[in-house]
Amino acid sequence: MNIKHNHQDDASTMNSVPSLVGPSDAPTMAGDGADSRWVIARRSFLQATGFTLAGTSLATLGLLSGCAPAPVRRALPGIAGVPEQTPGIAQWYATVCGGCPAGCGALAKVRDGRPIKLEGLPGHPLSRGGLCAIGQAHLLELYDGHRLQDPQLAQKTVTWATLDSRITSELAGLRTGSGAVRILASGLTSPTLRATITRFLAGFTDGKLVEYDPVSVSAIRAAHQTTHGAPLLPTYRFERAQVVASFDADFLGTWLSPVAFTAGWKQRRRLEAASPQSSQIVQIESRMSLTGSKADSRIVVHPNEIPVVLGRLTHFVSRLAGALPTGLPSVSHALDAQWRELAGLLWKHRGESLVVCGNNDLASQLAVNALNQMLANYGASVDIAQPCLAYNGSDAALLTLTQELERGDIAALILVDANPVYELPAIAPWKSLLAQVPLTISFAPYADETASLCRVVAPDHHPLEGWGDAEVQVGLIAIRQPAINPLYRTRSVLSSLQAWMGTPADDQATIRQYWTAHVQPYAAPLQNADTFWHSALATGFVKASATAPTPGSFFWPSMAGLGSKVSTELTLVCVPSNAVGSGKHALNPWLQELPDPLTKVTWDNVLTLSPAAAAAQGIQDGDVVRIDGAGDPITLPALIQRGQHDEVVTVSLGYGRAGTERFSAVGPRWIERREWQDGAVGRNVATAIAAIDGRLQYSRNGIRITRTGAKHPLAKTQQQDQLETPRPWLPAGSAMRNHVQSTTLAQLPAFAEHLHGEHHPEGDMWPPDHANAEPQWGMVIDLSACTGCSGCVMACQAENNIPVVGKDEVMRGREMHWLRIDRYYSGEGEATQVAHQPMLCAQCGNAPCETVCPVLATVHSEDGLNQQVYNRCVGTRYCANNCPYKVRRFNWFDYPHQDPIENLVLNPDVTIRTRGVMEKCTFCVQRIAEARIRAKVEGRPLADGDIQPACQQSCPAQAITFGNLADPQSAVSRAREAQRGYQVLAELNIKPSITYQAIVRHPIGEAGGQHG
Amino acid sequence: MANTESVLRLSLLGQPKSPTQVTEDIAGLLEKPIGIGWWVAFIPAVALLILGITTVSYQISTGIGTWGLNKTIGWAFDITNFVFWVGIGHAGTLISAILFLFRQRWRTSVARAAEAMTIFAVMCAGIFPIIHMGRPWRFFWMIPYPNERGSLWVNFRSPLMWDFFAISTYFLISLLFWYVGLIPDLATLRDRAKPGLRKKVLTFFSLGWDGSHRTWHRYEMVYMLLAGLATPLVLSVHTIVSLDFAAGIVPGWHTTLFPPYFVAGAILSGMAMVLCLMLVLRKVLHLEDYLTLRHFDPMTKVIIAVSCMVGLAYGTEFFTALYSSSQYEQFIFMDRATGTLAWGYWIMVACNVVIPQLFWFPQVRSNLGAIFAICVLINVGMWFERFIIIVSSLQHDFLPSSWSSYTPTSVELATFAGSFGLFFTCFLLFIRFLPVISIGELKTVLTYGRSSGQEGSTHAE
Amino acid sequence: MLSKHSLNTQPMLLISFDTEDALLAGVGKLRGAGHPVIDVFTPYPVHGLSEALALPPSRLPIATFLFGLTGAVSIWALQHWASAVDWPINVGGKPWDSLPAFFPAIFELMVLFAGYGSVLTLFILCGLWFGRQPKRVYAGATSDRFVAVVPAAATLIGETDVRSLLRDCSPVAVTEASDSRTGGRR
Repeated sequence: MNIKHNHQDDASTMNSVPSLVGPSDAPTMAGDGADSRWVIARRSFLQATGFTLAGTSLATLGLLSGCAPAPVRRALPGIAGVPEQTPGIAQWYATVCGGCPAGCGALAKVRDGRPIKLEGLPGHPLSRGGLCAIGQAHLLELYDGHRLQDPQLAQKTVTWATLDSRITSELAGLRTGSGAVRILASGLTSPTLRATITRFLAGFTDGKLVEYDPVSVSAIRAAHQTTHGAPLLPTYRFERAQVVASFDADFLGTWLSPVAFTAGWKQRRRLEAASPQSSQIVQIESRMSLTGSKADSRIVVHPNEIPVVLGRLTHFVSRLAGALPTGLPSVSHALDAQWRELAGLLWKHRGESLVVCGNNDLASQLAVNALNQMLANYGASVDIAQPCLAYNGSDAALLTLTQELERGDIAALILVDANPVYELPAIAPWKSLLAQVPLTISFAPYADETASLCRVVAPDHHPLEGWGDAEVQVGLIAIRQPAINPLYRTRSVLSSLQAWMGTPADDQATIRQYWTAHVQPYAAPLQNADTFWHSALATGFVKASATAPTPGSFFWPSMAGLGSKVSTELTLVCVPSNAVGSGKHALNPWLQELPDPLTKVTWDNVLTLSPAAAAAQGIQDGDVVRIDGAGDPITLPALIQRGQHDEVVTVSLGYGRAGTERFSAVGPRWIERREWQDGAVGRNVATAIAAIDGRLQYSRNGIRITRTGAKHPLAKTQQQDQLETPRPWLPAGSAMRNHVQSTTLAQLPAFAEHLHGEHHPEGDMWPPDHANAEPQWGMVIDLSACTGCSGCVMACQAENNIPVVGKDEVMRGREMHWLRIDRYYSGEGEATQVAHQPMLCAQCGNAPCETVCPVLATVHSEDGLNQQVYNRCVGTRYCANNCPYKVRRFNWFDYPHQDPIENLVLNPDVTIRTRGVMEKCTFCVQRIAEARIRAKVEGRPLADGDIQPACQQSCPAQAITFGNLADPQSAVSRAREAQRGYQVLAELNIKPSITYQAIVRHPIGEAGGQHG
Repeated sequence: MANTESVLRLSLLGQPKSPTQVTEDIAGLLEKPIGIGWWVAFIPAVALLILGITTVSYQISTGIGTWGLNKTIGWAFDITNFVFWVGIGHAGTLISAILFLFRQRWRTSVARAAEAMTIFAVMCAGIFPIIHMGRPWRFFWMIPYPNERGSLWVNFRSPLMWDFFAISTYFLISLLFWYVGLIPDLATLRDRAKPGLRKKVLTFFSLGWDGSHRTWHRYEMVYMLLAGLATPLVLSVHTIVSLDFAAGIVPGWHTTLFPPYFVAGAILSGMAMVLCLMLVLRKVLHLEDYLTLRHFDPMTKVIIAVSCMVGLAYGTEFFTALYSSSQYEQFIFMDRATGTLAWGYWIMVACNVVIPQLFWFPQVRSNLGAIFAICVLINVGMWFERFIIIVSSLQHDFLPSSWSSYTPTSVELATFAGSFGLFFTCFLLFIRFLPVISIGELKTVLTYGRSSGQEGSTHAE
Repeated sequence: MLSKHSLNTQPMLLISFDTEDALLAGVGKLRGAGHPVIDVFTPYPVHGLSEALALPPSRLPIATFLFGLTGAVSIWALQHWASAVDWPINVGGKPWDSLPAFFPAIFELMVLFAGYGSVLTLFILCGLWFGRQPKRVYAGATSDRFVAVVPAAATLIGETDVRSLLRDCSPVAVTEASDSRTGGRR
């Protein structure tokens, strides 16, 4: 894959593809401020889009620029053509994912001037080519017509010129005076921006940068302040951990940097090796998290118990280590066998074990540090030489700021990517506080909960529209280049601050300046500046030799804070949503319709509680319950969740965002359409987040839940939660279905033997009419690696133009996802086990769907694909009935695109399906064709790995292998032959091209299984 | 027809008639103004038809989404109604052709109306496969005609394609059979008609028939050949309809039992429908002399027979499933009997297998009210049979993750009602304009003018 | 045998009866007395009349068979050619020539062709066609009268002799009809 990058262009550094800007634009550049820039943007954008898209672009730009005729008259297609741009040929730009502070490497696929897909950046040291669902869906927000398109001054649209003059004058007053200026930032990872902010604040007598994270980890930094003398957030290296004890840390789901952690975790599970090896994940948690669903052993504890059990673990480990940290509570050995066992296991693997904790409690985090110190994990699995630079939020600083605000000391408050009114509504009366600050500036791209309370809104670019950089780890600094010119009259935070400092400069210059000064010296001091810059752009990141100052000796903290006795009362736990995170992406319809990997609920957040608790209260799925005792009462629907602590109810953050009301319009309109949405999508439970003892606490004790009697039906994409069919009195053995195979590491050899002992029908009565031509495409999916994160689902949606159908349609069982992830439970309570099984068209060799289609609309291709011919399909749906995997999707309606601009995200290589036709996964046939053509042009045969379907490309766990089954040497053939391989429903002799690899767990206390 | 002693002694007609009377009675029906009763039936029928047309137009312009289907259940009301109507259509040709070959003289009074019923039922049936398509305006792609796409032909391996051939052939042959039977009667009407449009039309369609015995001579041969062709056709059509399911791999569908099972079911529902219509006609058109126990009794006996066959089929498929050691089959059938659709399953068993057994009792067989009630119930039961086979199998198939459930929307209900509207509109027009009993054929079974009073038998011996 | 009786110019005797028995007896007598009975017009097919008139059995089944064969062969040919020769497409891994799957269509088309073919043959042989007028309306022949047609020329005797010949068969009417509309193309 050839990664393009932008050459510097002095004439117009605003443009993603500078060469797009013809010389004719240079004069207009000189013209005054925003307008002329808009002209360039518009024209070069048009040139980029070229003939094919001229129509759409004109319409769109008509909408954007507000004055339709003018741009149309001045629009000219790029007749001359544009260097390094061939219409119809995609270009890939290395960039940084802007979805969350984790800063995974990303590739932006740009077609005719439009980014149409975000993928993982191969070879990125952290994300290793993976990208999560949020990261990929983030693309859609670029084309959101509801973003602010102009700067706002007191809720009025103004030009940048006006805004700038106004603000500079007000700031000038503050510079001379002694007004306190505060910048409240969240998820700040750009070193250049940080430096600029520092310079900006330096201009004031009292200027401070305050950072916070909606889901705070400041206790970890505080703990390291104590133990290492520096507020470090270590980089956790799961690839170096044989045994992981994770206390409520959902590191495969939502904690810190899940993509990187998933990659590391997978690296440690070498199940295809001659002697299979696997790490052991022990998840100690109160609810069923994604990590818990993959854990090798799972222990259910109440959130209040976490410090206590950490104390016990510390106790046992310290006795093995011979060092006894002070203040440890006494432990009754009899009760704590499992902790002694865990301690023994950790100790046995000291140096390659890892203890992590996800709560925001200092005592717990101190214990974790002590444990990792005793287990010699520092410098191994816990990397503090190259610590994490993201998540710099400090609860203390945030709370100080609120006090300052209450005292009315603040003259100017500037919010960078911060939406405290929504994210932390309970910690301060924001509305009144913001009202009394003379100057409030928000850079929010939307008029969100906070921005709408600010006097000034200077809308920021979408990350894909502007220059940027990110340093999420010491020694790893990434650069982000624009993939498209700004669609609206937005401006980056960087240039806004520059402008207000009176030193207007464009971002590329600012950033390059910073890099020359602070990055190159550590990365490639001897290299020519241009070469360095361009290679950095091309690769998207550079590794610098820099390391954090090595901390002094480990200071042993007191364990007194852990406490010994537990008060378990009904507790509300707020967790980030697997789909929309902590709410930043709630306005993204792709993510709203993404089924939660565990609950399978779309378009809502729910209160989950254990079956026992539900039974006790007579609560059933969809019953609306009221939560009292955690801030303002919250009412939302309940859902029964296995494997959860009986005295814990869990709710996802990130819902109830202002602006999601508009999603009630999503989906087809017809006489029996039902309206489910009252107001926003879901409910905001952030009101339950409180600052207790100076820390943000996400669990609230002593709450009460009561049924309101109302019902709120939930749009679940899966009704049957288990493989065991609900008729135990069926003939022996027939109640359990074997679609998911799982075993343990010790039993793997025996299991594999048994698995392949299962005879599948052989032989054919038919003449061999269809000689298997080269190649035969096939796929292998490793269920052991699949965490259910749903990155593949989103990849498929973005790649294949899959429509969003809305809650009512999902409730009717008509969601359109071509690739779904089936989730099955087995066992109860602590023994609950979860299996995630990606399910997509298996391109069967003897496809039942093909035989029954009367009009030959679905037929078999020579390279083993089950083709779906949309324009031949008459829509009898017989094929879907006859598909044993139920992976075919029917266009019940014409699915309208709510937002005309949104249509720019569509992939031109994939047809938009009309009403009344069937559709389904085709192994991304458009990618297969593209690769075949490229190989032909380059006069070489297709090589293994040339083709990556969207789902495989972005999988953080690399659970998916794709390739040519006819070539015995290909990765996919080898994986297919591997011992864990089996095919779902093979007994039907439909010859599926997808092979699944059985789940292998490595529970603690299991005999055998080689330990690394 | 074993053991029809008693009935054989009965006369086919209520009281002896002469050919003149027969002509007068039956042709006369069409010459005197129609009664109020006809309008009372016709107006609601047309209303239903209009409702149906409106709904279908809405559905086609909006999308199949207006039905209660989903990603798991691709067929429900549409194909259920299709099979239901095809089934009803079966007794018509069956009675005509098979009973003709078996020389059942009682068929003469009922054959004409039964054949008409077949034609209208098949029309209703034919609508559903078309409107159930996502793009019905492309239905003609089912026809293998040379085209500019390659030529891209059709998939002759698809049961739906077999359906296409079977249903269209069945409709065309039934129509032909019916029309050929009508020709002599049309001539009779023509010769009675006063000059005018009616006479012109009758003249056009009666083909210049003049009753020449040389024509009768060949006519009888052709009629018998048609009967001989129609009989296997009747069996083949529902066999092929059953293959829509049997050829699929869905548990609950994939069974070789289906062809005989469906044929028996079709005969059951068809017979029941014929009986209902005949009982109504008898009352409304005062045909008490022409439709007697001599006609109803054998039909109720046929119903006992096929109802037992259907019951045997239910038992067999259940046993086969349990014995199959296929967990999917086993589950589907347990689920049918005890699961979310159990109510429908037991309605089906009760109406199709249990209730018809009442016909063992002569009192029931001779009580026209009871016959009517039971036949209505049988039709309900047969509708549910198809519904259960289709929906209960689809909703809980291989992968539990995709299990689903189905509830019809108002659009589907209205469409179903509309199909009844179409059926009864056509049927009422038929009894208004054409002789409901075959005049010429009936005369062959009169005692009048025959030595030793022995009844002639149906022609073509 | 039709050509033998190209009777368009001959005068005819129309002898009508009102019962099947009388007709059969009458026809027997006439033929016994050497009077050819050209045709009989009846409201329904009278059994035994074909024998009485010595009509040979119809050869229509041959036509039916040939039509049926045509239908079956042609649709089989189309299916085979389209699926296996003209554009072979891999459908569900099935062989190009999936003969078993072709049988339903073969059977249906056989029936369709045979049925319509036979009826068409019948129409042509009997001169029946849409819109055609009957050559002559024999009073009551489509309701309750049985009319036998005898060529008057061939009888050499008058109406009165026929009456006496058929006395005990009690014909309801014997009329002379000499116009050319009597016979008709049959």
